[in-house]
Amino acid sequence: MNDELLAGRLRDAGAHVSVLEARGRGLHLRARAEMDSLEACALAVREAGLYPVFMTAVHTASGFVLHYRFAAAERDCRVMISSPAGPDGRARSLAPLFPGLQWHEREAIDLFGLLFDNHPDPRPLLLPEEDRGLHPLRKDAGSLKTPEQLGLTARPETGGEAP
Amino acid sequence: MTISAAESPHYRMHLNLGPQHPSTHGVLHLELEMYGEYVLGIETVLGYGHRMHEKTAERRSWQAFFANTPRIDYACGLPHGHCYALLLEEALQIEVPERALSLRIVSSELNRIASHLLWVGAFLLDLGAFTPILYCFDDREQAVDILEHMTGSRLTHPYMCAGGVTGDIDEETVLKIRAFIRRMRSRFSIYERLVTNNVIFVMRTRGIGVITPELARAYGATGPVLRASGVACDIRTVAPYGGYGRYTFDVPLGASGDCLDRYRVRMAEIRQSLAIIEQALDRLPGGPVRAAVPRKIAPPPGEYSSSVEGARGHVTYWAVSDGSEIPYRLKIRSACMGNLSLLPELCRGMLLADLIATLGSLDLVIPEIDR
Repeated sequence: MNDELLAGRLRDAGAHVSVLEARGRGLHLRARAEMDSLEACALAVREAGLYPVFMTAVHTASGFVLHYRFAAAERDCRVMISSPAGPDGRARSLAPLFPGLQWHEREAIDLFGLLFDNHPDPRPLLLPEEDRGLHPLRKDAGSLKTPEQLGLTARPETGGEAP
Repeated sequence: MTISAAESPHYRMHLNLGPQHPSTHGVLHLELEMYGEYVLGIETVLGYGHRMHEKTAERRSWQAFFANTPRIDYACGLPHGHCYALLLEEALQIEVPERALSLRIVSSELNRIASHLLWVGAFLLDLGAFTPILYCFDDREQAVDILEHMTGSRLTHPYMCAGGVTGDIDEETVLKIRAFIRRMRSRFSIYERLVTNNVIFVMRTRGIGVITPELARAYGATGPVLRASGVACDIRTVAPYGGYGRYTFDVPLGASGDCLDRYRVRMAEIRQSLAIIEQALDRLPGGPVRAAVPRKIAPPPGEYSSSVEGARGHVTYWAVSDGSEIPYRLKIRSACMGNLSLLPELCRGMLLADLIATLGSLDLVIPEIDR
């Protein structure tokens, strides 16, 4: 599957896709999806032969935003898929599709207190047992910013256009 | 003896390997489910070296986080600093002077050589060979001496900064690096006789811990671990950064993805790194080594990312800025996490001695996973 096709597949899966040229260094895709379509997006990414780079979250004033990063091994293609988590940090795990994301999601459980419905092994990864519930990367209510203030929402001038 | 006979309670054993065991480098703790000498299951216990660098980043200025970068992967810290510098330069649209680009590559490649030499010695030590580490540390010492002269530190090199590097090198240092390249090239024949052609070493590593490209892809394994499986994944060539596109070098690949291939790939990478350093010194441009960057910086709101090839694989920094002088969120992707996470699937049914060989061949720096 070539990378333009991947952008189309992600749009078919229900994501809002921006094509970014990072200083002319190949195709970089930025996809925004709802939690329901995240698994379909990940399937398209897996079929394109990409490997998982990392998974993390950002704590914003409107809840947690999950970010999944994938990359191609032998060509310059990077994909970032973000999706807002449900209330109380509920989310669907992508670890059944990419076993390499299992530890990243366990780390997000530790550090943010996310709850993955279908995670195969949702135990703490980094923090000791007595720090369960600490969630150090959660922010105080006073320092929370909205996704708009953080520039995490799709900008109309770059959004949605095919190359 | 087959694994299905494992139902018998007489031979089953729960074995703790680490966190203080010498062959679990750093502080890795493996809980093994054993059947005699065979490994039935592996439970990886992490977090002994957890320092919460990502939270630290949210409490200090963008520039101040440079002090953390070499401490994340202490065996090859300069690529981490390089990655963070690239992120800030992309965020602030800073042009880096040509001389700084060359010095970054020289220092990063010296760091990679030092890291690979450390690994060769430690790996052979895991396999029960004591002598090679004496040769490796002899060679590594030369590289570390040069890095100390360049960066001011022997382990956590505070060299990379936004807009360039913190110090220039003089003609004497260039001569020292050239002498190191000559010396290192003459040492490969010693390693070949001592290690590569050593029949015990080959028997311990050939066909052991075979990682298929599919397994590596599913777990996000990168670096020499992936290249030993025949996948040409090197960010220096796939997505050249910081001037790497101007250098000619090969990406050494393995064929079978076993422990022996991982050794061969890393030894071949030392040669390639020497070639890169030589090219950089041959056309070392003059001029400043640092662009004028204000002490206090505040990237505009948005997300920024950069990726580099560390000694162990794909390193990515991803930051979210709210427009203030401290990062809102900084995510650090370490290569070792992907490389280690495939171990439980890879080593099921293996002999314990082969598990030690496989674990060693992954070149793990556990505090890089814990961060």
